[in-house]
Amino acid sequence: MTHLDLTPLVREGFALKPNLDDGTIVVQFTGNADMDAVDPLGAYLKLVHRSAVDLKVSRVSFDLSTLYFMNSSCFKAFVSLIDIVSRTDPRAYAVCFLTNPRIHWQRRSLEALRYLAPKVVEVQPLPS
Amino acid sequence: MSAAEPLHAPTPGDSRPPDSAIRVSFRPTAMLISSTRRFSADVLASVLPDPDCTSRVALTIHELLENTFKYSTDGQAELAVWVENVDGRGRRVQVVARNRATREQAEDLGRRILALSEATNPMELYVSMMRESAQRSGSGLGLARIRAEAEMDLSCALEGDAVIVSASTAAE
Repeated sequence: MTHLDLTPLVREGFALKPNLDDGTIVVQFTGNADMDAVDPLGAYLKLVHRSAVDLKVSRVSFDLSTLYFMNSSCFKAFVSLIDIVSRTDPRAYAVCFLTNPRIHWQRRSLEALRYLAPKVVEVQPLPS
Repeated sequence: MSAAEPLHAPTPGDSRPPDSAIRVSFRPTAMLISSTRRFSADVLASVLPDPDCTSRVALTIHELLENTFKYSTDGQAELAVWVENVDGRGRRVQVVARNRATREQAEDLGRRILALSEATNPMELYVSMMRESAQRSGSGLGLARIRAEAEMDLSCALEGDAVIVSASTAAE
């Protein structure tokens, strides 16, 4: 498998756009991840994981620079993904969050995810 | 069970009115919860100089309202948010959410809030709750997120068949 078999997800007020860039899967988030996004996001992250394993990528990046809010149920979808990745030995891939320093909840929430699995999770603030 | 009394929160007619107050009573939906969070954040941003504080409070409002959506036995919820001056101790932001709940839900909520409030390291407890949640459906992380991420003080009270959750933090 050499190409990314993921399609964009578009819901009202929430969208995901995947891309395969130099051996890294990048998923661009847009909008607000609230109650209506919980089920689609959970299902999508499982597809991302399957694609990452099939393609043997070393990193999956989630670009949150235009994600304005994420509720705890959507946050939990990431907890589940990170739990699966961190239980894989050796580590299947790194989970990298690209963040917007002007969206303040991101620093706190993603620091908590890094605390959960420091060998798996990376957080990279993008230039504002 | 007795009917719940209206939520008491400062009003402009109080002898010592708060700097700013928001009070809503509604039947929450996913869209209204997000709208209330954004509206509250816009109001708070105009009175709080620290955008991180506004963000923490907005997250708290959202998670508390989602809890009322999930657990209210009559579909109704009340929310009050205000900024007040505390004598000699600066300002505090208060968020109070109220809904009717079953006795079992209210007692479970009280236990969870007590555990979070008494935790010497809320982040460690939060991480252990994350690990536990990964193995089951549902999140159950909203209150822990308020305590550990938003660093809010949490408390809970029962009033008849209503459960009242309060969250507060110091503000500049």
